[in-house]
Amino acid sequence: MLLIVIMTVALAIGLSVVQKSLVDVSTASKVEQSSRAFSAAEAGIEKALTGTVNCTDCQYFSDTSSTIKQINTNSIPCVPGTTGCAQEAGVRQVAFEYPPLAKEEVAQVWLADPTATNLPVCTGGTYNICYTQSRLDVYWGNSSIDKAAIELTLVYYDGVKYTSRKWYLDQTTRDPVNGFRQVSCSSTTLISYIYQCKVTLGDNSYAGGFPLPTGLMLIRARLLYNNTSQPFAVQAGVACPAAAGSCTAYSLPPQARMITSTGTSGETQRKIQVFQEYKVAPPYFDYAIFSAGEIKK
Amino acid sequence: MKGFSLIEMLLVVVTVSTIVFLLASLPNAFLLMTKSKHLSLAREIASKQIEDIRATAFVNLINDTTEISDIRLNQLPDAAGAKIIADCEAAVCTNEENIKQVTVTVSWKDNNQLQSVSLNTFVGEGGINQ
Repeated sequence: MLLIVIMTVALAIGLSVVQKSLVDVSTASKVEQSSRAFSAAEAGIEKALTGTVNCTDCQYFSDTSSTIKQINTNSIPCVPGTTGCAQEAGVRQVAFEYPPLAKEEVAQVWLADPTATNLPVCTGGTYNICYTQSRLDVYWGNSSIDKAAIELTLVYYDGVKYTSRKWYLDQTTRDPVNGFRQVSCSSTTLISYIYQCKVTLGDNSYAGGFPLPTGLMLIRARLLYNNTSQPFAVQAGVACPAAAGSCTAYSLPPQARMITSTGTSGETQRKIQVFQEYKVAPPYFDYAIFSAGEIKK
Repeated sequence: MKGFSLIEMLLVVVTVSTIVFLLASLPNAFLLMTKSKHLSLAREIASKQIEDIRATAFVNLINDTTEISDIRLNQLPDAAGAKIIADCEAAVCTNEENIKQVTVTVSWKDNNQLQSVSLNTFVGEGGINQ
């Protein structure tokens, strides 16, 4: 009996030690492969961030056991399941929806391609450098209780110099006493959010209108009075005609680029995704560089 | 009848053989566990070096081969490490981008056999953490 017990214990100890050693070796090997794959994926991101890459499914760098595949989309990312991506005939470009903004946080949307070298001249290049349509939809807020007002700053080139135009908009139902222009809001559903308010810049059916000048460069928005973070979106106001040969003139220019880099080592794959916005001016610039009047101390 | 049947004898022989085999494998198993531990530690040291290089301003990344300084190297037998910073190969960086290729290698000895871990990546001007 004693012999059986001793043998059983010895067997159990032996099996557990052997199993632990095998698991340890397997884990260490996989972790090492994971590190190599991660380093390779980071290398792909570094390569793409230099800004000289514009291709799809490129393969740039490899060492003995790791490779990189890098996808660089140079447009407003399409949302799966929708048809309204940029440069698509017959539909309107999908809205560029910002993640929810906290109170007084600033969002910026380019209406001209900031990477174009010949701004404010809007011609040249392979696609539309400037947004030249007469209407532009702006959406904001997603709460009928925590109602948000909005400050819009439109920067444009008037033919001689860069200048700006501001709108301060608030919801009629909030009955504000702030002197803001009041907008009657009704909800609109876009892809990511349901928006509380919408105005169409360039639509003269509004009382007083929202005249949209030419030479549009960018629009900046700041939500006011909201206690919770709420979304903001801008959408090209005119649908691309179905018969149009090219829809570039009906789309907002690229706002960002999404870089996906995949590193592979052995059977391990690591993927890194970077969302890189183009140049965004700090919030205080609205009251300095873009000030309509002279700046006084 | 007194004595053992053939099946009983076979069972004993198989069990004893298994135990003997397992006990004989124990030293090897312990070696493998030690090797795994060393591999993990070496990988951590190499990863830390990569992170440190990413935190260094690009202008301070000079092409050179330097020894790694990490106190944890003392936990590895006969350990040594090197980081190599070099310009990105022309075949890869075709537009002469400001990118450095960084290779960190940590080597040590396990059972008198040379082991090593090597991580290879890029660091670019204006890239991650820059």
